Amino acid sequence: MTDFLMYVLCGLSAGLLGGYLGLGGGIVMVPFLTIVAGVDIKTAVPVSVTAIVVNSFSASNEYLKKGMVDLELAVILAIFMVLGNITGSNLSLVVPAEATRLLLTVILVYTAFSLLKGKKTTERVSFKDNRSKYILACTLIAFLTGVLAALVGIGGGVILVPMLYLVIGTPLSTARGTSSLLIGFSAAASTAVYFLYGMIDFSIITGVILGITVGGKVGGYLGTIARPLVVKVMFFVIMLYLAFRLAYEPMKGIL
Amino acid sequence: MSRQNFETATLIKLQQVSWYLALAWFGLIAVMIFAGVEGAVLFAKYGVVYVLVVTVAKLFIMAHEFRKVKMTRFFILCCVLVVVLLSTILLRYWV
Repeated sequence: MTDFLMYVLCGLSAGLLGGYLGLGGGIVMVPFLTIVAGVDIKTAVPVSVTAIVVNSFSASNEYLKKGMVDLELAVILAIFMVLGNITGSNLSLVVPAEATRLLLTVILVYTAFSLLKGKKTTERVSFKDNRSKYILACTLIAFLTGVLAALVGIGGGVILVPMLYLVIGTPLSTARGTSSLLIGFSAAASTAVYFLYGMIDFSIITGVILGITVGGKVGGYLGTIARPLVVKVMFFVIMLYLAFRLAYEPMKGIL
Repeated sequence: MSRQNFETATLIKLQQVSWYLALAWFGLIAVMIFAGVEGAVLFAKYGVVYVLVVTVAKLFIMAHEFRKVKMTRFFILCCVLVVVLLSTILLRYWV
């Protein structure tokens, strides 16, 4: 019972923080489950990707309603990202847990700094559509993002949104909307692989999904009201602490 | 026919209903866990299957809408995506 409540709390915190700061939730979920709830990272990753699929139902809906999803781009990139996810989830069967922890540490540090800098949050005034020019490069990035996302249990929005915004040239809101829709498809591919290999822990998934769905909704609502700098700084510190804790054990083994 | 004619209402409705159903399903399992029902967590397996089925249904809806607005290339791409997703099952059992 106590464990179950702990999983709900982990999901709730990940959903709240993720929704509030415009992240998917996976980036917060895996470290929370690993560090706070003491779940093995190899168990936390499949749980996280499954929760991401459910979360994407409501997240992408908000953007679809406002017409902020580039459906053509989403379909093209989803194919490559799904292929990457299938590759990544199959790779995770052989990749050691220490490597997964170190990989996630790097992504956590990158996300913490990019969020604190906050440059991405400023919307451009004019847009130049570069999709015909860079689509091949973007499909390759989508594939690699898929591999990475499946390995560490994140959605991949942290790479997709800047790619769509900076390389393709879509408006930031469209980049976020497109990313949230295609993450739903790609995370589903990982979920399917992990499910078929019996790697999803059903005793954890219920609490986590309940927490992240409720937390994501509340966090998303709070995020539309205000995003004070103090929360960003607090999140930055939490992310760095989680990154340190994640990296500590594998590094201890190496040093 | 173009992107402007693409109808997202069905996709939005499906996602909305699916989200509530998923919440209700996992909420029910949580109640069962609190009530001490033996093997309640195993019901979560069906919840995961449901989530995957909804994802494929989303793709079918998108494919249908692309076909309706005569965006054949994207209709085919949606079908390819369904095949790629289903290939995970093939990879697991036949390779």
